[in-house]
Amino acid sequence: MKITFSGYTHLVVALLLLLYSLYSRSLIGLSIALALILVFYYEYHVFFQTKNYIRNIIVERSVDKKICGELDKVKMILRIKNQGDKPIPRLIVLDTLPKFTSTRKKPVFTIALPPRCEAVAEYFFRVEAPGTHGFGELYMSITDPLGYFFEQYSYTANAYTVALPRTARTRVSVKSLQKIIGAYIAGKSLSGLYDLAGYREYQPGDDPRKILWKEYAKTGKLVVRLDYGESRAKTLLLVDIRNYLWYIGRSPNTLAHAQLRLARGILEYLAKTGSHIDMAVCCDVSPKLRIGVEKDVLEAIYDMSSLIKPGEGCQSPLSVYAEQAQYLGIDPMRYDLVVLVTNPLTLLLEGPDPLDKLLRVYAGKLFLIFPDYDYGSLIGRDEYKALLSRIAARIAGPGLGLEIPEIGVRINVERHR
Amino acid sequence: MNDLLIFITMLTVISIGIITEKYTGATEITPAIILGSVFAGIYLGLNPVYIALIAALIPGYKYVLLMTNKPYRASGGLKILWGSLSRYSAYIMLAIGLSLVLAGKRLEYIGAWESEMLYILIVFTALTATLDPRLGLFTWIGDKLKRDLSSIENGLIKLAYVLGLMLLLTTIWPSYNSAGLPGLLPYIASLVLRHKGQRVLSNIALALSMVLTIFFLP
Repeated sequence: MKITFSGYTHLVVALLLLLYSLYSRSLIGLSIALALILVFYYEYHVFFQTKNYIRNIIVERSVDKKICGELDKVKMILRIKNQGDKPIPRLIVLDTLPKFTSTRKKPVFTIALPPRCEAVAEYFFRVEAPGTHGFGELYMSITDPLGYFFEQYSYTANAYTVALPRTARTRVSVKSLQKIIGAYIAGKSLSGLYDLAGYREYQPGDDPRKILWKEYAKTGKLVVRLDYGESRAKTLLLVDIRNYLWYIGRSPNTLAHAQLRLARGILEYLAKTGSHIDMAVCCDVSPKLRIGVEKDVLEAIYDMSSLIKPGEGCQSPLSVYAEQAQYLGIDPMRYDLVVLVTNPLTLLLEGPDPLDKLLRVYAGKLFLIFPDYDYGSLIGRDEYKALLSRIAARIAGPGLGLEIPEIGVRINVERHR
Repeated sequence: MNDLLIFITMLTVISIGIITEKYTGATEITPAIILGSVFAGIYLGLNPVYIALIAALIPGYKYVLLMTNKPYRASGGLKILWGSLSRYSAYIMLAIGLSLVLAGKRLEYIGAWESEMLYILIVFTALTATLDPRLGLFTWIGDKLKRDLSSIENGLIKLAYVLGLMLLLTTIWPSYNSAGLPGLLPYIASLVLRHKGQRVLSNIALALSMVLTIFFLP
């Protein structure tokens, strides 16, 4: 049991008034002083009784959107129930927010709970990062009606929402990837059996002979036919997120945000090209692999986001992506293209060995993509240039290349307030 | 400086504190101002009635702030607060009775037989409040004795009311002393309300009756 400043003040003032009224022989003063002392006693009595009823209170938590977009507003609903037969005269509920969520006002609610009643407290929070945002602990303070005494208890009520990263603007071409997927892979044929399997939008590098000109005449869109037996690029997308990336830059434009938006953009782009895509995301110690994610891109993005916990990241070196393939018995050479979404700072901090290992395992298939970020201001412009040339030189032989696509990965925060 | 002027100044500062507290949630501001005002009032030798009124603001403003809190009201807080108000009024009556007993006949204005009557009336009414089941006195005694004392309790409350009314009427009637008049109407209202089962309102009317009676003592 703790007493608040108001409680102290009440008691001190009542005692002062009692002495002063006795000294000045004031009947009204004496009456009010005694009334104040009795009220203080009543508050204590009520509090002492009520604090035993805390076990009758249960809290259920839910959100109105289990899946949302980055920077979306989500409503949190707290159902606070008094299952006992005694009233709770005053209950203060304080919710705790996980990292990368924010509210306009502190989520504090003062409520009363009559017997067998339920109170609903609601507030909106803004999701400031992609990933799984788990809500759990909240605090409840039981007090007397006037709030002179209180006792705080913690309570766990779980709920979560998964925020999908925003789509990066992919209109700006990922030139190198287009070249690899369009010209190098999609043009190949395995069997020569040309039976119509479907259509898709034309991508630069596609065989012009496959363009359906009649469709173009009707709709004005360039569409290419897909045939059975035609080989599709088998792509492995590696998404690497480190915990320190969440603290580089300001939310919602940290390096982690940028990297995840880029990863989504690349995934959507690869799916559009008709590639077969496997995706691996590392968020703790080992990467989680998803096979054939091109069938439902949105589900794949959800899968990726649900694995990510904002503020946390992969704790293993980059080479874990190579070890994983070996461990799962996947032949690294089955892929035509292995895209690693990372950033130069991670490569700098990790040193050359993990990258060399990846280049060895995915020989001739590894392609690095970095988000367009202001690295120069972080490590110095000259240092950054030198680092980029070192990475480019290292990947030039045993890898496919490196690109920093001009994809918009930054968000204007003011527009979303 | 004039006592009233000091009192009004203090009230103004306290009001600013309450408004600030309402909109910023800083719960320490107003109690700190009230505490400071009480210390200053005692130091300046302010009329004890003014100091008492300022002191009474601590539970008063807390109560009002809680009543104006929307989520609190929406969750059924008003009913609970209403119950507390009944207790508070019962405590005020008890306090007035106790203070009269403590002050006794040494007070200058106690002497005339009407005043004696009023004194008895106030103590009696205070006792009525004390007997109120909401204060739990009889429940507590009953628990200790392992007996159901509710019928005795109800009988005593009714007796106290009737005696109180008789005393009040006597105070007004034979000597044409109107001291008991302002307290009479709320007292009768209290009786009627209790008869109708409105115990909360009855207690409040009773407290009002006592406060008015004590203010209009000769």
